[in-house]
Amino acid sequence: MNSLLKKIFAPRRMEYLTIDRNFKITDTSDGLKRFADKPEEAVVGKEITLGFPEFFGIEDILVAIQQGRQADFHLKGIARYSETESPLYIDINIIAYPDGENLENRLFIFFEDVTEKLLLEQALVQKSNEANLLLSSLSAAKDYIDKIINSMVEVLLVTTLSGKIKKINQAAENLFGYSEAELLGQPITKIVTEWASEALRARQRYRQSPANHQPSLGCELFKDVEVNCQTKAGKKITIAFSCSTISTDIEDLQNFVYVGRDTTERRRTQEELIKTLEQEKELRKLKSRFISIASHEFRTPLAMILLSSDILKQYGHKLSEDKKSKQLDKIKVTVSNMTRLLDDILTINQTEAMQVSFNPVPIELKKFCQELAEEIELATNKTHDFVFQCQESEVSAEMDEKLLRQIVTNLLSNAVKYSSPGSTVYFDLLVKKGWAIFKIRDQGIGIPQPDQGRLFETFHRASNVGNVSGTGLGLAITKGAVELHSGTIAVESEEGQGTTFTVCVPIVQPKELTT
Amino acid sequence: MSTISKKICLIGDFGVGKTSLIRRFVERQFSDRYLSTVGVKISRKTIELLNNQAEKLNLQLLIWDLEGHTKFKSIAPTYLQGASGAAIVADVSRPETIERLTEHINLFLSVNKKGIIVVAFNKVDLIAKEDLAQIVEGFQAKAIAQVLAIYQTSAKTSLSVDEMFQTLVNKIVETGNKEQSSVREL
Ligand SMILES: Nc1nc2c(ncn2[C@@H]2O[C@H](COP(=O)(O)OP(=O)(O)OP(=O)(O)O)[C@@H](O)[C@H]2O)c(=O)[nH]1
Ligand SMILES: [Mg+2]
Repeated sequence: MNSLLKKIFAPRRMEYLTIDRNFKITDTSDGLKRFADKPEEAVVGKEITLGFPEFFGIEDILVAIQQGRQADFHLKGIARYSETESPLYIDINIIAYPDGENLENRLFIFFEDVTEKLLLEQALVQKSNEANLLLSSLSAAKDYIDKIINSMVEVLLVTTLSGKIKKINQAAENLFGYSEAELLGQPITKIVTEWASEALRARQRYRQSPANHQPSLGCELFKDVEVNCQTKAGKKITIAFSCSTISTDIEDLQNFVYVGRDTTERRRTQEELIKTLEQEKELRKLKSRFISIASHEFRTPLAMILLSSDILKQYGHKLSEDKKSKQLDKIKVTVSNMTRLLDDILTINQTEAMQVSFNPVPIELKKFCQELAEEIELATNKTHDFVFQCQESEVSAEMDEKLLRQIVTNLLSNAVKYSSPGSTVYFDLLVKKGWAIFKIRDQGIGIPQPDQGRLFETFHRASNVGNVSGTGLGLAITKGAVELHSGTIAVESEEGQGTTFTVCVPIVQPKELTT
Repeated sequence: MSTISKKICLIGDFGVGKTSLIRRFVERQFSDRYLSTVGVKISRKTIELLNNQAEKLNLQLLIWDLEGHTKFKSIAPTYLQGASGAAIVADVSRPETIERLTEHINLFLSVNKKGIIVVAFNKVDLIAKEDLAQIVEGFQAKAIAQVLAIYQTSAKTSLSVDEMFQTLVNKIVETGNKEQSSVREL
């Protein structure tokens, strides 16, 4: 059917009716029934609201129009349809025309079929509303997810496969000190300074063959791997990261999601714990070594004291005064040896626990060393020749006198102890670039190569000491004292040829160490 | 048995469930499909009531289902003319529809000063009970004196749908009787 014919035979788009002062229908156009809600009621003589419910409630307006107080009234888009019928939409227009007979205005009500227009409008509104509902639920979902992400205690980062940051959460901003804007588009290496090899391997594997992983599900690449990171302020922190892939809105394109916890604190306490445990272990070892050495070293002198006191008790009355005092001297010497041993042990205990006080004071080294050497030469009954050498006229330094005395005394008496009487002990004091160098050289039995490395450990004694008595503490104490001065101690030795100890100590103590 | 008619309107943002609430009340049905209303659709529902003299009377309720408010189109006040009451509807899962409740209430009152209003927080089946309490409380604080009651409804489960309409109708009839319906004559 062509469109002209269609128009001719199509139902009329406009119909009308008129009503009287009682709202009763007085006249209708032929096709009016089509527009009525109840067609059987849309006839002359019936009240208009029966067939057209939309007029219920607007009687006042009808009166106003009829009386000329209001020009007209429109009701647009009234729908008339039930489930089974195809929809019909009408616009209603109410106007008053002068009626010749009654000298009174007559109310005309026009109905226009606007179905076509309204169906089009419906399609548009439908599309627009659906889109808006979707948008609103999407933004609600995004809001919700953002809130979750930002209330997470964990750090969250999303990056592209190549590592460009796409999103970070509040926790990450707080921890790293950057705002999100500062990090977007930046490589993740800006905050992660060092990846654990495990993490690198997992990502590498994924990048090489992403197809092996199920992309839609997202897969976990690694879990709780500790990596080193750096904050904006440059602080180093450790973060345990877990990493998964997620698919983006672009098909086949994956991103990495990192979720991490700051483990800096945990790691630090862990390290501290390990250190404490090690110290404790060391202390236990020390104690048990002390007990064994004590039982060994104390037994002989104690036996001697016991013997001498027995002799004095049992034979005292028969012994000459001279012999008595010899026994008493023996006891005295033995006791003082034991006291020294005890002192050594106490000192080493203190040094190891870093409890020795360190008080550097101004000191003239040349005089100090010379006098100390003479003192020890005398104390050892001049069994050895002591040669002290120093090119300087004087050496002003800043050192702890007590500790320095311990260092030099220990090394000199060792030199005497482990070399034969009559041999020479050389003691050189040198000054080089702010360092005082003490060199003590003997011509004694020397130290076997394997023992040289462990020489400064507490209670360690070289294998060739024979029956020369010693606690194995002297060198450990010496080393501790040197280190308190921020110095070093080294040994050079050849078995049967002699030994040289070299101690280097800064002449003036660095400031931060003295405070 | 005499019959009186009353007009009520359902007003609210698009998609809040106005059509669904009417459908539930009138046809006792519900559909998940969304068909946006354009213009207005009038449904009738006859309710039996007892009047002051304890006589049975039929109330023909004319329920106007209006096109929802959108960003692009507000509600036409001409539709509201002559309504005795209105149910103002919001969708509990969309906060913006709750925010606009007051605006709709005021629009209705501007046309019908003595209109009776109930508010429906619809789609409560979508929200956990304890979350709901929070949402509703937030609005009640700002509630307007003319609001007769606030209902948490679900057109889907039919929760409180009948009660809401019933409360509205009862109040309308009650005030209508007091006022002595005006003589309707040109
Ligand atoms: N879950 C749930 N969905 C509902 C409820 N009420 C309505 N819906 C759904 O919400 C959507 C919109 O419902 P309608 O009743 O068409 O909303 P409306 O207010 O008439 O929308 P407009 O005509 O565009 O203004 C439809 O998909 C309904 O199925 C409800 O109580 N619970
Ligand atoms: Mg609707």
